[in-house]
Amino acid sequence: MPTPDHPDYRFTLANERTLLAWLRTGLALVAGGVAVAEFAPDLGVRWGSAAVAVALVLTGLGAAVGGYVRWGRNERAITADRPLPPSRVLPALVAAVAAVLVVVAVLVGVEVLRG
Amino acid sequence: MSGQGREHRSEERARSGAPRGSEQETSSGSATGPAPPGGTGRTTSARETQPERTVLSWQRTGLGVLALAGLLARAAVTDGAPVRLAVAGGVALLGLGVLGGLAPLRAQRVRRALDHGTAVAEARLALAVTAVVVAVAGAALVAVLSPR
Repeated sequence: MPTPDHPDYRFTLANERTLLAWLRTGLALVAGGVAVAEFAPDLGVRWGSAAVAVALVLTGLGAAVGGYVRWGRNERAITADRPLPPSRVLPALVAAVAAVLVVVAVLVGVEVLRG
Repeated sequence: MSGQGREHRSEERARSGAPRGSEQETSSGSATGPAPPGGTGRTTSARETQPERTVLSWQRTGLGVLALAGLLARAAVTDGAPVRLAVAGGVALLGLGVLGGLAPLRAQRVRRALDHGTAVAEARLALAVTAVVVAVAGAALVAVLSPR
């Protein structure tokens, strides 16, 4: 339903669901961090588990904040009937998760080698 | 002309929310007529399911916060940390606030905006739910960093 000041209310609702999806992604990463600290407290080296847990929680925090920033930019573009701006949040999140996975792989390798 | 009339009727049927093929059964009645202006509670202003999906998304987010609260509570109990158990309780209250507060509030606001044809965007609700997740992440950070 286009109105003079807004192209379509469905775009706003879809953008809002995208924000909520980012927030749930952040929540899942935070939960992963808590789970690592709880269920794998002695991973690899002495501070390995805590480092992975903190990295996951901070990545989740970043996903929530980044998703909110992206929501604001998208909403401004929708209201102005412009194409959505490119997202830098998604590649940043992928890079962070990939880095954490590399660290986890190294820690698991240390664990296996020690027997 | 007859084709035009049929098109018009099918549009009315779409507006009143009656399923396809129901015309035969109710053709003598007025049930397939246009929805009364303003709505009487039997129909909504929505023409599709986006408002419903949006509210379900709010509910899932609240349930996600509650699930994380459960995980934090379990970790606090197994570590024997009463302060962290209280923090987990606070996280659970935030999750209930999203599930039972923000989600139905959002549903009501969307319905009202569609009824009145006003803007559906709610910047303050978006900021509120983001703040909840940030606070929950902070609580989890404390739980992860606390010595065990």
